[in-house]
Amino acid sequence: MPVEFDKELVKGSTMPVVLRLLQEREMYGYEMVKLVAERTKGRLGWKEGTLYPCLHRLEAAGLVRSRWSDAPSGKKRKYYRITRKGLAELKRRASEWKEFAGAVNTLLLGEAG
Amino acid sequence: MGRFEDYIEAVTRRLRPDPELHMDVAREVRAHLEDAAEEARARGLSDEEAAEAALAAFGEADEIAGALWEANRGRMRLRAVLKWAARGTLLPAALLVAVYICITYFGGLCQVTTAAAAWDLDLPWPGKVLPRWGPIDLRPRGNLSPEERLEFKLISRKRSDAEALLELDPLDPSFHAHYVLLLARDRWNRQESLGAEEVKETLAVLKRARSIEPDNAYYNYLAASLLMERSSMLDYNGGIGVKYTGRAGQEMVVNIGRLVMDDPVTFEQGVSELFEGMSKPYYSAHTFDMVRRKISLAKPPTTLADELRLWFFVAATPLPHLASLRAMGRRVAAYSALLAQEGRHEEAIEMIEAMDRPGVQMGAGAQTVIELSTSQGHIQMALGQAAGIYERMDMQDRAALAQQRSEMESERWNSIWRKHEDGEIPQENLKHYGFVHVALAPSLPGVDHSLWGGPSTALEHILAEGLALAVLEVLLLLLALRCAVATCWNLWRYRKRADGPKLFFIGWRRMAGIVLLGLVLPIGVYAAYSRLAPFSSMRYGIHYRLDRVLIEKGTLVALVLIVVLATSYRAIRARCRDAGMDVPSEGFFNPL
Repeated sequence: MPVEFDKELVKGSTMPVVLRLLQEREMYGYEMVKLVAERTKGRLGWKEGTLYPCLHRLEAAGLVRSRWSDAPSGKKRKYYRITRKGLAELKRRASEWKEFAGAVNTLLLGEAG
Repeated sequence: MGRFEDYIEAVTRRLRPDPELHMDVAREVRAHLEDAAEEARARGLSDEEAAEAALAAFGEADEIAGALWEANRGRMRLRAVLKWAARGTLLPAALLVAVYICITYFGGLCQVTTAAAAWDLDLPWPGKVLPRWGPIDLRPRGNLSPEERLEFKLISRKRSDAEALLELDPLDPSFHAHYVLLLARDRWNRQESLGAEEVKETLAVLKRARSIEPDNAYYNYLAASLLMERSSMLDYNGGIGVKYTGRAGQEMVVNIGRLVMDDPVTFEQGVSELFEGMSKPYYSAHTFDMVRRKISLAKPPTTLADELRLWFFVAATPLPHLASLRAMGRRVAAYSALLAQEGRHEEAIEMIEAMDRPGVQMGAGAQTVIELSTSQGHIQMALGQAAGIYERMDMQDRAALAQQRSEMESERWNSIWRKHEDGEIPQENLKHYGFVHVALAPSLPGVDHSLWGGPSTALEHILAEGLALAVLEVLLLLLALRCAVATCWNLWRYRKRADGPKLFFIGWRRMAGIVLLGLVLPIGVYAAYSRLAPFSSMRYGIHYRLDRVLIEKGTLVALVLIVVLATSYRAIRARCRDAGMDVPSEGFFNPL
């Protein structure tokens, strides 16, 4: 049974995670959920529905773009693609996270940054 | 999948105000849930359990609904504003443009034909079939004094108005000429029934006009023709034949006729009026003076219809009663022949030598084409007749001289006709000039048709194109109205159903595509064709090539309608496909 992470913690990390996934390739929502579950072995415990408000917010901010297209199964899926602006934001967020995690790790666990 | 639908509805409920977004998100959530359920089933769960698992994994409905609304709030607001702005501006703008085109072109043309009809202009039939509506007269300038305004109003084709003008200024020669002109129009035309009283009254009117303008021969000639015509008849059996050369160089013979006098005293009065006129320095019917006065008081034209109405006003100028002057010429020739026959040679020679004088005076004072050509005809005939009569009197030298002068005169006139471009005879050329020109021709100054024919033909083609545009616009509007009514009806009828119709926008890019392909392209191609192709109907007057005009305009209208319908239908189908809705079947209007 995966550990239940604190809700706020999960929420704050969703956006950079989504951008990171889309950096790899164009994807639709369910595909991302699956991939996250696979890579984290389900530890992150996303409420799948929260992914969509996040995607929509990213789209409104111009960080991703969407279009309806045929999935390999032949069904129509809404695919999201990262934009140039999104890539820049991802870079910023990743380094921010690194700094932040390093600082918190030092404080909480006494590890050297 | 009733459970999914209930859940999706709960999740997307707050997005309802934006139907396109609502549908899009619902579709996305549905795809996700179906994927999740399918995978759960693949793990061995039952349908029921799989659905349950998918919903549980997606999250609590109210929470997600709030988050979705929050994430899309800005977009919804922006789109709502845009939607209302578009409705508030585009629709009224489109209506305004529609009304403007209708009024300018269709209304303008109707006004013009109304004016032409009201002024008894004989328009060829394209002008006759158009509806009649709108103001007839020119409009006065804004800054006129009350007197000027009255004068403007009174310059019309009504004799009562002309009478009022005389009261306004009894010393104005133009007003007198105008009144005489309208009196002649009303009375001379029914000369047979002109009673003695009316003749007396008419002669008094002429005398009054003459007292204001003693140097003008016009009134003398009108009096002379009236007196001569009432006191004599022309018998064309056994008159003298006169030869002259026609326009195409052919020899023609005209009979002078034999004068039968009923009332020698009155006739002699006519003759003395004639001689008095011939002694005067000039002739003027003041035909165009009145037109000029009215135009100088009128508002300058701002639209094509205004311009055309002005042209028609000019064309409707009451022309001087030239038939009576021609009749006078015939009587004078026949009278000279009679004098010669009776052996009164001296009187005859005096008469013959002066016979061309009224024509010369009239030519010098002519203000319109019709006066000019009447004057020329008068001179040419007088000289030819002189030759014929001299021959009868056995005066060969005089006869030869008169014949020579007559031929020179004919040649002068014939050379004007011949000088038209490329040696074509003018009747041939006339087909290039429009029906407006045909209506205008008699009162135009100058004799060269090409001077006026070009602009007036271009003008009527512009109006015809405007008319085609107006028809096209009305058809498109009717089509749009039909679609709008059907849409509103369906929206209202199914308003309570969750899966009822929703109003979607097809997108700016598709909209631009329809406008480009359906409107700009066909109209552009038509404009290029009509202006550049040597065989387009624009090279001719409308009445001459009406079949081609109708085919061209009809093709344009049909093409625009078909392409607009076809591209619109394609765009709707593409939009449906995008939105994941049922795509309407390929219909007649789908070119693919």
